[in-house]
Amino acid sequence: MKQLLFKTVIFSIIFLLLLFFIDKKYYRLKNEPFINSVMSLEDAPKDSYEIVFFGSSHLYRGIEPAIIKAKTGINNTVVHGGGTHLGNVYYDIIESLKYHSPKLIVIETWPLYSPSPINNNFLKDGKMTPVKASTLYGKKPGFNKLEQAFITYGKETPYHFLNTFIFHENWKNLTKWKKDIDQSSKLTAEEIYYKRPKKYDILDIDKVEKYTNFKFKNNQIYLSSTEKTYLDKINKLAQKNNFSLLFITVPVYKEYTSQTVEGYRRVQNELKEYIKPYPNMSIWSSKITPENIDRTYIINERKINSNQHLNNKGTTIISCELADYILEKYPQLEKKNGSPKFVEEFIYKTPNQKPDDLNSVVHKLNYINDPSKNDLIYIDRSDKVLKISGCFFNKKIDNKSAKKFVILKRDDNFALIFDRLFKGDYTRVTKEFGEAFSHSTYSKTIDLDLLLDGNYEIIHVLESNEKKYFYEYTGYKIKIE
Amino acid sequence: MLFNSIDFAIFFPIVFILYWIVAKKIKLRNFFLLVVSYYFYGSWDWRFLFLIAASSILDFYIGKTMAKTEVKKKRKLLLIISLVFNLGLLCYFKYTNFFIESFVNTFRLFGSTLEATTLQIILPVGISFYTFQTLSYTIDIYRNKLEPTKDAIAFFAFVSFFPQLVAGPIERASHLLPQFFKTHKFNYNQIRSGLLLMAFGLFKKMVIADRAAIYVNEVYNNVDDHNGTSYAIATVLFAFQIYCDFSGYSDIAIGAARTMGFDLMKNFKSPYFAVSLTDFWRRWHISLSTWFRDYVYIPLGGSKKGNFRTYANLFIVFVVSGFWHGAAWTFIIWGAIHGVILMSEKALLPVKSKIANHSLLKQIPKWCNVLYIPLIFMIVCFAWVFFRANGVQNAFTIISSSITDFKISDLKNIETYTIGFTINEFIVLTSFICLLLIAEAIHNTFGLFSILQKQFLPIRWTLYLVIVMTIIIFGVYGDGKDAEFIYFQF
Repeated sequence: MKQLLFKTVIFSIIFLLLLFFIDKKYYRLKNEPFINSVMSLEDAPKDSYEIVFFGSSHLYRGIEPAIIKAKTGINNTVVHGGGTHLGNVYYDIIESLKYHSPKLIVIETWPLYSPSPINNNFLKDGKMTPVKASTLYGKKPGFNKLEQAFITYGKETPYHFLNTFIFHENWKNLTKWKKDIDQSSKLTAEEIYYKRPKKYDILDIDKVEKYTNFKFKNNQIYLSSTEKTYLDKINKLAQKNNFSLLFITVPVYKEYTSQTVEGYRRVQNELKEYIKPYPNMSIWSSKITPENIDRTYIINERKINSNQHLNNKGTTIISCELADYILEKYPQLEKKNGSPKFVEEFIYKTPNQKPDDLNSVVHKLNYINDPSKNDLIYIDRSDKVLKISGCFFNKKIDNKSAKKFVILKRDDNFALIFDRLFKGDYTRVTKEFGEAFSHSTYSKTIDLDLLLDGNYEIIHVLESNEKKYFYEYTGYKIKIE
Repeated sequence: MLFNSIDFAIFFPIVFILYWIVAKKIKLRNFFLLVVSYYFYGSWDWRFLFLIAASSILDFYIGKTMAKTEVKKKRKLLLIISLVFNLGLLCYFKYTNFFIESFVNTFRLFGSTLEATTLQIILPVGISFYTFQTLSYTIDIYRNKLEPTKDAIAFFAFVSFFPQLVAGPIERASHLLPQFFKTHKFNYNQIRSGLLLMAFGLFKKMVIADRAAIYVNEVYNNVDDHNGTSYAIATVLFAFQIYCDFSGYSDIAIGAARTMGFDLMKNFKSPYFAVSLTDFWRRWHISLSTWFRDYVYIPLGGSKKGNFRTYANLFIVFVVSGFWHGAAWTFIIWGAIHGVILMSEKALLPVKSKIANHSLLKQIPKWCNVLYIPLIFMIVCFAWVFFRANGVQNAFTIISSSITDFKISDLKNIETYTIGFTINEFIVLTSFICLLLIAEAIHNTFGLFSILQKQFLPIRWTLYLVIVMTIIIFGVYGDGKDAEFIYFQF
């Protein structure tokens, strides 16, 4: 009996060690945004985040942490789970406290405003709904993950506790799995998150009509007792860990807001009432009135529902506004200088240093709607689109693999970064400027609805494989009116 | 509670530990086994417990009463009561709707219409297995081959013994019941081999059977959407699915029982290495085929009443065996095919031995018999079509398409292998099937477990870890109905 017991214990330890090793290396991968966002907590140096945002896909699409960082100098990250509820947010906050001591926790309030019954009553008979527990799989196996898995899945906890079980069939698509493993080992979660593709599509006109005809319900929008219970729990964490709580609301499409204004006000008033006794809690509302969030701020998603997301025009405006608010409201938050890691850090006025290689890009701008190429090019909105083409390169780097960005900057509150550039024909360019210009050309067609009225500067940025940045103001300006 | 479920993963270690705590006190141990077995069975549906309890009570008292009397008529009457009760329950739960439907269809054949509604009957899991097990008890007492037990708890525990309760092996009272009266000593090697057998069973079930099921279900459930090549592949995969599913269950059952000191009979012995159909039935579902031999074939006269009766008995046994598997004409045809081929084999036996005794053929080494293996495998696969198809019509469609529509060119087409799953799944599945066959060949020749036991500990443990990790990574977890063992429905 003793022999069996001894061997069982030793074998179990070896087995668990192997399982945890495999789980970490091959199954807890930064491939899904919701997993990656949680992993950014563990990936970053300890105590490096001053602000952590929590919320749903509205947060993922609505707030750009790179802009917050660029404008405030404050390290921050976003943890989001698709359609998450406040119960999951509570466990996500606990997870963040394992690695960091944030001074400010920001909660995006869509989970409170969501008309989904899942969000209002996510806890029944002591069990949380398993529908929206996506952030669970980004967490490192530990007590917090175990508790969340248990309250969500009960006896199926082991299956959800280790990603090896839940994602055990990754081998079915080896190519994707290998790519995910490579990406996970090479890039930090923060890099993957901050550099995620930006969305520049706009809600279709025909969908606008569908939205107008769709009837959204008000009666499901309220602050439920379950939500209040978890607000209390989060509040207790705030008191214990000495952080401030800020509730923000990423705007949604005006058609939805206008129909559900009653429910919105109900939740807003209840939330205002709830935070009254607590000086560490605040609510932030965007200055943009809901009726201004027209189709040009919204992604063109397939379904017509309450769950609309901002495109990068909306994200940029909201993030810039929120960054200014945070700077003003929380001056005590630590601002960190360091070498820039993201394109945004070159565009906004930041306390960060500029790179040494400023103006090191050789560029040539060929075409901006009006071929006359004056220093200030007037673009009429009746043109519908802005067509821009040109080339830029740097002699010191491999231009073929370098990432290229074209930026249209209006001011420190609005700049759009375009990263998916169409590779232009470079034969003419190389003839004129030499072989070094190969792989340097680009062209981009931009919907004018994405741009606010005003004067824009055009900036070219190159990011080398070694993650060094080279950028240059082209000197050309456009005026949209 | 499925063997491949989290419930069992929690249930079994607890039972194992508690069992060895109470193991020395036989009565307490048997009572404990009875409680956990009833809990195990009741986890499907607590109402099933009344059936198994009723069956056990009746057979326990019939056994006792039968032993007290020497009067042949009374003994016969008691046996008939047991048979009627047990087979009556089996017939009611398993065959009522089949008879109603067949009755209506027969009338339809003759142009009449008959309105009849089928009954909403839930088939109690494993009823075919424990009914046969408990029947063997009363029949053996009737034949004076077994002394009835006076210990009701031991008998109840024997009938409901959880490792083999729902899908066998169908144990004989003469083999298993005495083990309930013996003290079981904690034997490290026995426990280790039991656990290894359980792991091997889980591997067969989760890695091979349930993966193959994806392809097989897709093809067999959508007969009109596929070509002859896909049918042929699906049928071959089904052959391995059903083998790995059922023998996997048996391995887990035998292994679980072994960890508690019980020895259950071997149920499979590499059936696809059979060199004749007779050989196949010596290797496939041994506990059932020997049950039919002892309690149906021999009482019918076996092979002692002339050739005609021998062939007829064989045919009857296999048709009944098919009917035992399921209340559908497909199972009856499946049994009949086996019966007919076995009859032919028996009829050709004198011719075959004459040819084999020819001086030239005598020089051919015995191992050349392996050449029969693919032929027997094909025959078995042919019969499996009826076993798996959703109706006789579908079975004929699959067989005719497999013959007329089988194209070599389809084998070069990746889409042939990716029905319901990816090409990686197909590669992994076929690789594991090959590995299984190699492992069985080695096991049959050298004894895999004994080779393993002789190895240095790090090698053994590495292999154990590989098996467990293979199940975790390549296994199909499924849930509910999808993960059930095929033989649960019988």
